[in-house]
Amino acid sequence: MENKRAVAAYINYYLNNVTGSIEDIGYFSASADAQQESFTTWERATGLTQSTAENLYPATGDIVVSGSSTVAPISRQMAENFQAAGGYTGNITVESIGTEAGFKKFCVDRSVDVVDASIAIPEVYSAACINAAMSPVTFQIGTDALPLVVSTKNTFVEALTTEQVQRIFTKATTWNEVDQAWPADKIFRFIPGAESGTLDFFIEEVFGTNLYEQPVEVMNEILAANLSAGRMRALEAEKPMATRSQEEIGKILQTEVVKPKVVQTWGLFESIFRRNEVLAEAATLPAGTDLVFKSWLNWNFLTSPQSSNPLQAGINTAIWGSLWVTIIAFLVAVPIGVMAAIYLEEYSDGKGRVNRIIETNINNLAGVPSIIYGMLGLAVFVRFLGEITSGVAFGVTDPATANGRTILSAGLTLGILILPLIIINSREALRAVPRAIREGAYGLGATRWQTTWSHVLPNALPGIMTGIILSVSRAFGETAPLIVVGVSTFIVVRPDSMFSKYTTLPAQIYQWTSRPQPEFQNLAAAAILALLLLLLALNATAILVRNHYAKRV
Amino acid sequence: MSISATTTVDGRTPAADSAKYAISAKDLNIFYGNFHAVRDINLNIERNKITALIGPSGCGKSTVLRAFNRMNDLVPIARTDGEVLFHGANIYAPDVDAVEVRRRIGMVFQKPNPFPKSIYDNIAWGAKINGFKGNMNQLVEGSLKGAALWDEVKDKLKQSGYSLSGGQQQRLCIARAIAVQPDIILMDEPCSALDPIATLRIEDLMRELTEHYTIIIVTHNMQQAARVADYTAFFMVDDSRTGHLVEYGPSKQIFTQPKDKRTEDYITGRFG
Ligand SMILES: Nc1ncnc2c1ncn2[C@@H]1O[C@H](COP(=O)(O)OP(=O)(O)OP(=O)(O)O)[C@@H](O)[C@H]1O
Ligand SMILES: [Mg+2]
Repeated sequence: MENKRAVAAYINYYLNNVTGSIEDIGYFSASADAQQESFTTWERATGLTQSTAENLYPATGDIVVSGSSTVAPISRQMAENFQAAGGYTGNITVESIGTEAGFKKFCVDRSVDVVDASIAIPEVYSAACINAAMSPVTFQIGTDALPLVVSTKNTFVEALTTEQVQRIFTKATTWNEVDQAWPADKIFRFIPGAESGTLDFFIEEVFGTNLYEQPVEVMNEILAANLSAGRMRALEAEKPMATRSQEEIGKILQTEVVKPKVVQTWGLFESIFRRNEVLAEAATLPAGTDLVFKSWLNWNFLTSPQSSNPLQAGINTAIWGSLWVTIIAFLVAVPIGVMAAIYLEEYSDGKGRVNRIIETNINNLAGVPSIIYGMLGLAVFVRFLGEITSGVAFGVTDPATANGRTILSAGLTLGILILPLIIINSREALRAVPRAIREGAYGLGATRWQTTWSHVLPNALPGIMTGIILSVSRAFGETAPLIVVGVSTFIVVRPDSMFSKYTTLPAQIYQWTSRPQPEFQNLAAAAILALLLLLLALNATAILVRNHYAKRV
Repeated sequence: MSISATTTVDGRTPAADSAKYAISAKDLNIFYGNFHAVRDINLNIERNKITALIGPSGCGKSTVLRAFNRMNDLVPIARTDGEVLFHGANIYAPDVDAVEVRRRIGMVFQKPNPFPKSIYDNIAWGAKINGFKGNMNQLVEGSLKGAALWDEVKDKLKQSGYSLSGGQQQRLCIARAIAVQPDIILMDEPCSALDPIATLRIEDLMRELTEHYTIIIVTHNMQQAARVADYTAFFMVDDSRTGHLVEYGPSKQIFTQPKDKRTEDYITGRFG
């Protein structure tokens, strides 16, 4: 407990004497207001006033100060002076380990007495402190600044907007590119070394804090500084750096340099309702870890291809695969299914042996487990018709897909799968058309086809479309048969033809859920939401179209 | 039995009949599956006259009526034996197209069944599928006038046929039938869903239509048959519920001096 008095005494000394020394070291004093506030804070925290501060002496006990390397020099100076001033016997250590590390030692390890900080306490550590029943108090001891200097020989630059500064440090090579009124002289820039915190601060101030929002030039520089020349050449060969967009380069930066890794995740419930505990736990993780509250279902997730890094993995390729497969299934099943239903309802008398067999089989097929369709698809489309479904017969020669495990095979398989559903639903809809409408048409001398086309079909259309919507949704969500006919789970390129390899959203979800890491579980959950939203959107559109038709009839 | 006594076709050759009559049934037998619905119908329908088919429920009036334009073909289990002669040809001959028959012999149903389309399209559609090439507006107007509906709908031809009242819908169906310009119009209880005023309008209309058309009407309403029909045919069922024709002749005679006891019983309301 002795040490508490010592700390209070040390800080009081610090506050009273820092103004004298801080400018010698190279910083500015805090404003008068800030100084006043510091004293008030100190008085409130210690229950003493400046006049009763004398009671703290004599003080003993070691004091450990830790944190920012920026603040360390002044703290060392103050510690030295404090010890020299007398009244205190003990040892003060001032470590220079970085602000965040300092906070961690303070709030989590609780091994230091004072933190030197160059930033306000991050939420993670204030939560950890609260969790440890500590309420840290803050004293501002000074500020620093970063000047931007123009040569005295430069006669025209008087004031610069942030935008102009950005241009000077990126694209512009001559002054007139910054402002038309200025001469076309070359800009000479002198900036501190890349390791300097000053540069970081400058970039942050001028370009914002988000690394990926930085100008292409800045990101390119970071890439060049961090990647081997060979890797840079490889990237350049893939697509010249100069032609890549800011977003693309940002992605490279993320995958090649930042390489974020998930060390721990918390669920939605914990993130919302037990945030303090999450923050406290996060504070115990090794320094350099960022706590990010992240919605897995975001734009990036929808637009990125599959990736083995859960932070970059997306469902773009899966969405495209699903759409391709579903559209082919639709194109196969809808015309055949509706025509079959029309034949069975309007033309066939249901008496012939063949007709009866067909009817029985359609009803039975609707109840066959979908995996069986997968077997059928494997045998017929993948193996037997492999030449056609892999496109070899049409001159497509891609050895990777030549084995028939293509979008076409999957689409055909799902088409066959939903065919009986479409037939049964369509027949139901046709049957629901009142007899009177048919008789009215026949009574006027209409042929079967005229009657069907002009009256029966328009009347049955809403019902038929309902059946189609249900069936296509089924195809969209089907997984088991696709696994049999060879859906790939790891596809990073968007399928571009029906002879492409593919993955689908449900298959992707299946694959992610089978991974043990919780990040992939989160991805799967996000993908499930995306699947539901997509289905909802597709169905809503289809229903709108259907209602539009229903009204016109 | 009494059929031969009351029919007027006895002893005439079909060819001679067909010139004189609009349509004739000859030894017509109709079956629904194994059920013998009507038997041995011989019936000659006079041109440009209204002929009523009456009889107790289930005696096969509709079945016979529908036999006149092969509507029974649409019932999968129905089978027709015998002949129906129209312009001297049997419409059940194998080379005859039922569609063509129905174009020449139109039909109006018990329940008004306009298409779920505009009033205009209800009428134009039948003409269109029959290859009508003339002025469609004129045809629509003419047909609606023919069905005494024009004045009521001329300002709302684009509205749905469903927006009309029941009586108007039935007249729309009649207009639709005459737009195809058939020779004969079959009407199966066309007024049963209508109120007395609408019924009278349709009856007036039928009278007017006889100028151009032959009409065969099925009705349960004895007064209606007496009022509107030139000829009346009375049907009955026998013990096996098979319908047959009991008596056929001018309405005046059937309703005032029926030859058959059963006809008398029926028209005086003693049974049926
Ligand atoms: N589609 C059908 N399938 C089987 N039997 C039928 C069919 N239509 C009619 N029948 C039978 O044929 C017989 C005659 O029927 P129909 O409809 O011609 O009688 P109807 O005289 O018109 O009777 P209603 O006055 O009640 O209309 C009845 O016994 C009826 O049950
Ligand atoms: Mg009837």
